[in-house]
Amino acid sequence: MTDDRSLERAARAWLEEGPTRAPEHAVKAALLQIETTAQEWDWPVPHLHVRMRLAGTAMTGMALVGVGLIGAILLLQPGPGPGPAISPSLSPTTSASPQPSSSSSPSSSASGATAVAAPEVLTATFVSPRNGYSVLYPADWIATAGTSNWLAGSVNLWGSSALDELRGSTARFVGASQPLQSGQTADEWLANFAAGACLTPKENWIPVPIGASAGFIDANGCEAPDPPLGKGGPLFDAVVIVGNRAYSFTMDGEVSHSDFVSVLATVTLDPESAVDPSPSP
Amino acid sequence: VGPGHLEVEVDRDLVEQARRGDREAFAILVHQVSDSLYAVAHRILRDTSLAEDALQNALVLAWRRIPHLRDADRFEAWLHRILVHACYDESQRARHWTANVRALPADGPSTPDRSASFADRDELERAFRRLPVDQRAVFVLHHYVGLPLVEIAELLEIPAGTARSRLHYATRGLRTALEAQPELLANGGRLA
Repeated sequence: MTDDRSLERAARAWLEEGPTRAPEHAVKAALLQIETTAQEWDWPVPHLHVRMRLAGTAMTGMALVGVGLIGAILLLQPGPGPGPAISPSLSPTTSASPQPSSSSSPSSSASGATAVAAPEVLTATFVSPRNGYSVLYPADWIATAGTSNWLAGSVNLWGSSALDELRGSTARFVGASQPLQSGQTADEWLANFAAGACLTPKENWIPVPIGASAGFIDANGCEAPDPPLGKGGPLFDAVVIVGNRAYSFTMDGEVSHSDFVSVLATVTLDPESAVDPSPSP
Repeated sequence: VGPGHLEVEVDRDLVEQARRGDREAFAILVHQVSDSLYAVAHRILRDTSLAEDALQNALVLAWRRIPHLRDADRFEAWLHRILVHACYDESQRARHWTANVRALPADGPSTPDRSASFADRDELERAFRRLPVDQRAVFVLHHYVGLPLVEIAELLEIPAGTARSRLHYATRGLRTALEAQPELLANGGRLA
């Protein structure tokens, strides 16, 4: 019978003989990859997720009017299909033209409005320095403004410098905008956008109020791609065109349709304040 | 060999900074821990390329997930858990290359070429490679890193009994393989 102590001594001596220094190139390669890798964020205090759900549930059947906060009003109407349909019923206080024209244009009817989410957690205001909008978000989220422009024809992946990013305890919100191209109509822009991955066909887009304007949810909880393109979980995306400017807003993580809609409702679109690159000579 | 291979002095402030997204702080941490991580990965995987890949993947994954780390004092253990799982992944990947089994690369500290001990090491090498990677991991963590089984179980998030049985089967597997090489063990465990 072999002596285990002898075996262990031999194995330990043998293990000691291996390399003890990491190859420089392997460390450099890791650091290089890290340079372009976004962190996943843990969400220890799921304020948004939990509180919004509670608010949405508890306040079903009620109607509140939050006059002082633009976008803090959200009317939800249960839809006939498997997913909720939203009928915006807002008193627009800002211009919202041109409206995206579509066969599924948002109705102005507010009949059957059943719920209002007035998320108290959205206490901080992010004003995009570049993209011409502001949005309310929980104060414990981390806001990072985009540093470049969303160029025509380009797709913004997670981590793109064109995206304003708000990271929260259960979810992430990103926003970007771009001017319509010269001669481009809203429908043309939307048609181009609808060709993107993860998006539902345009005819199935869900009308949604984005601030005081009428936009569409074009991705309603699709499965987000794995990191680094996303943090997993359902992904929601909405678009709106206002003042010859197209906006895209996205949320993912532990986020529901109603969470997304609630945040969108707090958006204030201000295309005049957007900063675009100078046109080429 | 005793406890100590994991005892890298890591600045807790750097860990906190890295948790908040500071890449420079994390880069410093990488330089502090990469030697230890690589040493462990190499001993588990017995392959330079696989160990490098495991190291790289573990470091990148650690960067992505460090905001999840609750206790900065657990950084090293947390990091080694990620590394061991990266080794599992690499080992799985390497199974597609079983025909390409190589001898132990000579990239470690130079040791005298003693032909008398080469056969012993070679036999250990072959026996160890035949072990499942989860058994190898426990064996390395115990006999190289010097962790007691309870800590290994905690590190790997497995029951203590599982850690114990993996070590037992690893030891038994090596013993069975080496019984054909009695001269090694007759040597009192010394690699001549």
